[in-house]
Amino acid sequence: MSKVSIQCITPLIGGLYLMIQLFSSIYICFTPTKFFFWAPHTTQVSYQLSAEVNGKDLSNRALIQRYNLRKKGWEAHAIENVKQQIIFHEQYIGFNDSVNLTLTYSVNGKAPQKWHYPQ
Amino acid sequence: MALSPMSLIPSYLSHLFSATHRSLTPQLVIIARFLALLTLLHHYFPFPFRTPFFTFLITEEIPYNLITRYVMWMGCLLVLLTKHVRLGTAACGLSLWVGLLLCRSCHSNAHMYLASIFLVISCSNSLTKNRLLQAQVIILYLGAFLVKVIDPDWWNGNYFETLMIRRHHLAWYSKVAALFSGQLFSAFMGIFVIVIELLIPILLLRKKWWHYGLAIALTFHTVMIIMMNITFGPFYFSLAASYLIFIRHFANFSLHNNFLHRYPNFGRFLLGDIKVSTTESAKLQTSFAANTRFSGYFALVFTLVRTPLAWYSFALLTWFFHPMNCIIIGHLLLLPYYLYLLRRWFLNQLKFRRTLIP
Repeated sequence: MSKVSIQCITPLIGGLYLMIQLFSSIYICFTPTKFFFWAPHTTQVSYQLSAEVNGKDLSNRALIQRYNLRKKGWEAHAIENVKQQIIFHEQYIGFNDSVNLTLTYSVNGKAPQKWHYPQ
Repeated sequence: MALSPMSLIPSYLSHLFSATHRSLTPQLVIIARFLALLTLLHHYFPFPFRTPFFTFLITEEIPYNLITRYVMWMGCLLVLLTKHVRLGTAACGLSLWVGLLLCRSCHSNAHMYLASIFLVISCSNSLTKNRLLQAQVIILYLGAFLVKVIDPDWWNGNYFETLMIRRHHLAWYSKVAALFSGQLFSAFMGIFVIVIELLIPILLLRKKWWHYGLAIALTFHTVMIIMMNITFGPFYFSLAASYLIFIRHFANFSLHNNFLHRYPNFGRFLLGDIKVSTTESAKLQTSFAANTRFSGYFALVFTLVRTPLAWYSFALLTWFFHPMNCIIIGHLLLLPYYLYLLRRWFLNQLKFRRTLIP
């Protein structure tokens, strides 16, 4: 392989990395879940989480340990991120437990909504 | 034989104070080393192993978190102490990305941007120069603009009302917003941010407009972080450092000083490997543009911005003191320089008007 072609490989990888970012920036505009995009703090969601695992209410500390989420908190990307996080945890990590979870949230100060798991 | 201060520095530290590299521009080397030092000092790796993005990462047999952390540290040391800056930045960028994939709830744009800067630097070479990082900065703003422009809450003021009043409880904001009817002030703020985030990438597209893009971006981000009293982890520092690539006359300026003439090696130690020409000039002068010369304080600021040691000192200051205070003090020190640039711009505009209206 010539020296010029070797010199072109890393910039090509870099260019590809930038193109992926550009396409994901456009794609993310049309999806409710917002991971890996260039807009922090685009949405302010205040939420309240209450969970019962195997018949026991989870405290704030237990919620942080289980989901890395507080009992009352703010999400700066999208509420779908929080929901997906809970669903993924319950499906693949804590699947042995019986969970009854309620998430009350308000997006950008609008009327509160409720979401339950299992749905 | 005269003892040179450069000879007092251990050989393994010689790379640390150098901005030269076989295939990277001095700006990229300084950015990489500054961010590597910041990463080590502030432990920008807060990813616990919780709820990863992929099911194959759910295992306790492989300590992914520990491995990525060690790779990150090794990468930082490679960047700082050796000539393998690209290898080190690749290690840092990849480990940060793996860290992000290991923890869904730790999703952070600030860390993602830091990882992207490291990866883009690792992919840069003498062919691309600064272009990849320039494209990265432009994509960052375009992405932020796109998400905001399609969200009605940014246009009707709901977003800023929630952020400033309900979340951060900023009393001054509530008072100012109350002066206007409904959410008019918050709507104005939202539209203002959207316009700024469109304007910055446009200004960064042309070399002639870089000064304006840089000034608007730095002012915008600094005002925002001071208003909200958050540095967003490594975000502000990564962004401010990446703007180094939009500073012109980086490596081709000459510095004339009697002191440096007498102790050229000490000058090199202080100013990095930037070309220092030692002539018999009486005062510190740098060539800025064809007919522009800086002297004294402005020359010092002009030179310090291009000096690795100044960036390391800033990184160390953020470690000793509160990062927000360091940012404010740093900008206050740069204030005369900003005012000088503003005056220069104003005089240029005046000159331009005079040529139009004789």
